[in-house]
Amino acid sequence: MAETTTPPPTLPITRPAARPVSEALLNEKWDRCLSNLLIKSSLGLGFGVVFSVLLFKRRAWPAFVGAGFGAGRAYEECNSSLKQAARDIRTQA
Amino acid sequence: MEEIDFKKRFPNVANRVAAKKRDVGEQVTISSQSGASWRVADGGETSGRQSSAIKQTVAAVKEAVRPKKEAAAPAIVEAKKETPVLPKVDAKATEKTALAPAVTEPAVALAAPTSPPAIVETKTKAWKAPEVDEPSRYPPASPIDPLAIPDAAEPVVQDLVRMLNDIITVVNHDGANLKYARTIGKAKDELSKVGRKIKDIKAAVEKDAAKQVKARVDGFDKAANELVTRIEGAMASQETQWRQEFEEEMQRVRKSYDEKVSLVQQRERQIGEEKLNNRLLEQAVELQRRFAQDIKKHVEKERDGRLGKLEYLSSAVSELERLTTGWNDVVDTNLRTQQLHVAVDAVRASLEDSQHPRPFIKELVALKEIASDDAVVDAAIASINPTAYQRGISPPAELVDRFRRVATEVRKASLLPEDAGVASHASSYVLSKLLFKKQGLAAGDDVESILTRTQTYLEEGDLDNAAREMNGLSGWAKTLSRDWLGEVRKVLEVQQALEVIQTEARLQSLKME
Repeated sequence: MAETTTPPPTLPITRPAARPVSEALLNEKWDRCLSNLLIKSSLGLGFGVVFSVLLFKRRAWPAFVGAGFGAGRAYEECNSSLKQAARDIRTQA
Repeated sequence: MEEIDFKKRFPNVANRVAAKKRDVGEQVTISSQSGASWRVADGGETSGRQSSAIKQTVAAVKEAVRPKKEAAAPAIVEAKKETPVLPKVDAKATEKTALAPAVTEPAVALAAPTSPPAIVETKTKAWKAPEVDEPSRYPPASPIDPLAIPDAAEPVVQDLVRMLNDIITVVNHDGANLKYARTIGKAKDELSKVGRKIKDIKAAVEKDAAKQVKARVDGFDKAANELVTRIEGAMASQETQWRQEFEEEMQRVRKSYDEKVSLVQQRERQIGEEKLNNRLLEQAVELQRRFAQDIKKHVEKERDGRLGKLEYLSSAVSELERLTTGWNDVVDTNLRTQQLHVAVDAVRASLEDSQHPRPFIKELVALKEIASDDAVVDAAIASINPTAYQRGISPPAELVDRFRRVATEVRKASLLPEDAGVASHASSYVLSKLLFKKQGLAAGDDVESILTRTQTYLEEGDLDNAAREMNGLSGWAKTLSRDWLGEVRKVLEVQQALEVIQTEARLQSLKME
């Protein structure tokens, strides 16, 4: 009874934190993919910049290559995660 | 004792004595054998025996003596015959003398001298019958006749005769017959004289003895007769006494028997009377019992009449009671159904009233309590998902609001292929914005038309159909709409349960009427 009296005000707040509602599943995946892309591409970019400064006499292309590596990796991860989710859905159904 | 002893020793003599006694008188023997009175019999027996013994001896003596007088040869033969008897009798007599010497002594004295010579004589004569007798009678030698004496019974004479004969034979042998003829003749005469004298003396003595014996025998006979008469008298008196006693005894016995008979008769009479009395008593008891039974029967009949009425009354009352209890039941069930209605209404109100999902567990508990032991209500409540009444269910407005959000998301994923990657997702997201919106109950199996139909149903308030439509989705679209569908299902379950309970309550109220 004590449990039942308290939940009404807390329910809307606690629900997203505990588990994403079904309609937000895809959005969440997108968010994660984008953040991943950002981080990885920026990391690649950073490596590329460093390499370009140290080895390639401040040429522009190593930085681009690094960013491209990072973005590609992020993309692959995102793709795989989505496919995995799709496979899960199919197995569930 | 001595008698017995004697009897043992000489059973033959005793028998003979008894036989002799029998000749004297039968009654005496009977008395002695019967042993009615000891003393009398004893006395009689002794006297009788003694008398008989003496008699016998006397007879024997007489018999022995008489033939000697008449003829020598037959007498000798008789004596010879008598010899076995005589000595025995003598022996008995001698024995008896010890007991009664006074009576028997003379007889013994008489018998004793007479018997031994007889024996000797008989013996010698038997012995030398061919030697002595024949030559003596028929003289062998002519010159001198050997002595032949008619009275040669005496032993002394006999000896003398023998001696003389010897002398004669010697003389004859010598042939001096003539020389000694006269002396021998003298001797012969002397000898014959002596023999005659002896015979005379003997005869006199025998006569005396016979006389005495006869007197004795007479005395004894008399005594015996007296004894017999006495015994007979005693016996007669005893017999009379016995008869008297017997008669007395008989009378006594008869008297006692009569008494017994009379007693038995009295007893029987008493028993008969008692039996009669008993029978009378039994009859009386029987009559009483019958009377009591009759009375009881009458009373019972009467009572049954009244009791029947009372019973009818009581049965009517009990029926009434049953009716009232039935009505009470009806009222109670009515009340309960009413309460059930109220409770269901309360639940429904609590569901409809709220803007936000709110737990309605209190109302449900109340409902369950009211509908106690109602299987249908219990089943209906059990069918509700526990999370529904613990957290509450969303109201229709919220459901519609949430559907709108879900619908946009679903639309974004409406164009996704089977195995979608990043590219396909991105393209679906972009291209879904370009799709045209449909209106109303659009036909078709695609996601857009399903969503449109669901929205239409929701707007109409048909949650059931909306849920059905949304359930037809597949793939990403279904995954995205899963939570909303769960919500809708919960609401539907609750609604259905409430409807069932309400129907049940209605049914109850209908049943009462």
